[in-house]
Amino acid sequence: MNFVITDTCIILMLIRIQPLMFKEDKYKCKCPPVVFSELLGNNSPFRKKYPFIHNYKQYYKPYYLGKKKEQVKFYEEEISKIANANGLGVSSVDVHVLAVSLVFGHSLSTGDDNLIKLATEHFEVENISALGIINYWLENNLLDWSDEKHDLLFCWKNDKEHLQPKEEIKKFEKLTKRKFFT
Amino acid sequence: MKIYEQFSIKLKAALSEKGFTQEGLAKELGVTRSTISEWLNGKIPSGKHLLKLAWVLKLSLDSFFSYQEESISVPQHRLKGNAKLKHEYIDEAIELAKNFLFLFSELDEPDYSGQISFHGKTKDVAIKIAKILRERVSVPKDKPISYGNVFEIAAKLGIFIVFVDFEKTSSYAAHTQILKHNVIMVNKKTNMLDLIFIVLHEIGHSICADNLNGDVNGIDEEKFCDLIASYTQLPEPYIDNIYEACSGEKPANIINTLKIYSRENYHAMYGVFKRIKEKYKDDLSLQKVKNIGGANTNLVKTFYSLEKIFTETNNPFEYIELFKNLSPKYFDAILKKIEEKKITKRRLAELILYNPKILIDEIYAVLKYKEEI
Repeated sequence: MNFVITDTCIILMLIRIQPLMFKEDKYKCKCPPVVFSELLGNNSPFRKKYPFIHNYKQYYKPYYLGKKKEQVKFYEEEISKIANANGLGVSSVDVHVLAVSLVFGHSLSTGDDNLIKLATEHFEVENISALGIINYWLENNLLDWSDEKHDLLFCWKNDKEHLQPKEEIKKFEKLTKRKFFT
Repeated sequence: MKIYEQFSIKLKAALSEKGFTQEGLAKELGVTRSTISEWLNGKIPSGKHLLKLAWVLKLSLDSFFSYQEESISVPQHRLKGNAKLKHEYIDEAIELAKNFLFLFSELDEPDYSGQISFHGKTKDVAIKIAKILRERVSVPKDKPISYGNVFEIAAKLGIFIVFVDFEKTSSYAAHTQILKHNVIMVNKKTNMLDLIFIVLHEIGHSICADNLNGDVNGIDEEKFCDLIASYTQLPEPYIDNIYEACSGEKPANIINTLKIYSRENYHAMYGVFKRIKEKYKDDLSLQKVKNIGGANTNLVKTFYSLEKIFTETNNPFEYIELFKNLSPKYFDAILKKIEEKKITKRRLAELILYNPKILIDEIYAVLKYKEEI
């Protein structure tokens, strides 16, 4: 199972911790080009607020749908119908990431509570938090935790992204033997 | 739109038509046979299984469900005669309106308490409607309508104002009904000098669509709505004041005077001059005035577009305040979806955020948590 990174915020939270997250398959992270371009598009407000993202443009690798392209397109059309029938407001990007997750059996990774609710309740798609992804890397020896990486977590607090699931915080503290926030 | 029952009947028919047994289908979908049996007995599958079912059977979900009757309409009378609205305009309006359908699917029926009924689409009736609209927002008799007034009128009539990009037809605005709610879609590229008249014109269409007396006879509805807009925005005493200021002047001075009034009161020069010429047709000095259109074009260039107004602030609180003032009904419908957790952040951004300097997370935090940014 891979993680479909659906939020610009999650990219900003993780890419400095593991720049190769999209480049190498072992990190399990996939990101639709449209989501990554939200960070670096000409009108993107992120460019000024998070200037470091420019340094990571080269680390992005788009994914290809291959033979499943037709099925993803079919799912997108039908997901839109289900959303409309249930009075749910979803964007074309939301529909795309849901379709990709369902067709390939991936998890979503988003901090948007309403998208999580919609994905889990209506489509049984799981969501993994940013800290959950770090824990996956740590558990599978894909990441060496360091003071430098730990300091990056403080940026999460500045952006109010530190409210991670309790069980993931507990697991993180056990894996790193450090307090999530000290 | 709501999904109706009869899913099981349609599934049975689809299995028979495609030659699937319950066991075969269960294997394809990776579920148990008893799950298929539950579906055949009326249980609706989860979204995940519905999608896979549709894919395996090569059928659209439309084959399984029935939807409510047509829920979006652009009133048909606008196709008559030489009305400006052509088929491509209607098609684009309906296509854009579909984006807002989910907002209305669980709203209460429209509130018709503020409705205006009339008999006959005549000039006198248009003037009477204009008078009622002006009274509802208590504008002084000699003052033109302000931006605030026009959006207040729309709100009091229960009209939703939404902002869109008419990319194909470049329409200024279009009135539509979504699940019986009156919705005016305003092009974000509309120039602020034209905005008041355009919205008032579409308000005219809303009033016509809701008229209890049905599709009454009279002049073409486009002309009728132009009259409602003109007399609501520009009351007679205001026309008289401008005429007094212009009367006896040289053409160039008349144009300058018109420009000053238009700039200060946000209306086109052409419309006001037409009214003056109609009322004071014996004044020969007015006949000598040429090229009002050119002067008006130059004046328009000094005004921002609506889109630009949305980008003037970097502050999410100010942005939300602006949005709320322009379209309180639409804003409330969006808030309801946020409270019900039925809208994603990206969808919210598409519907409400036209300012690239503000992050949707900031808007969301203000709306959902009433947080300070």
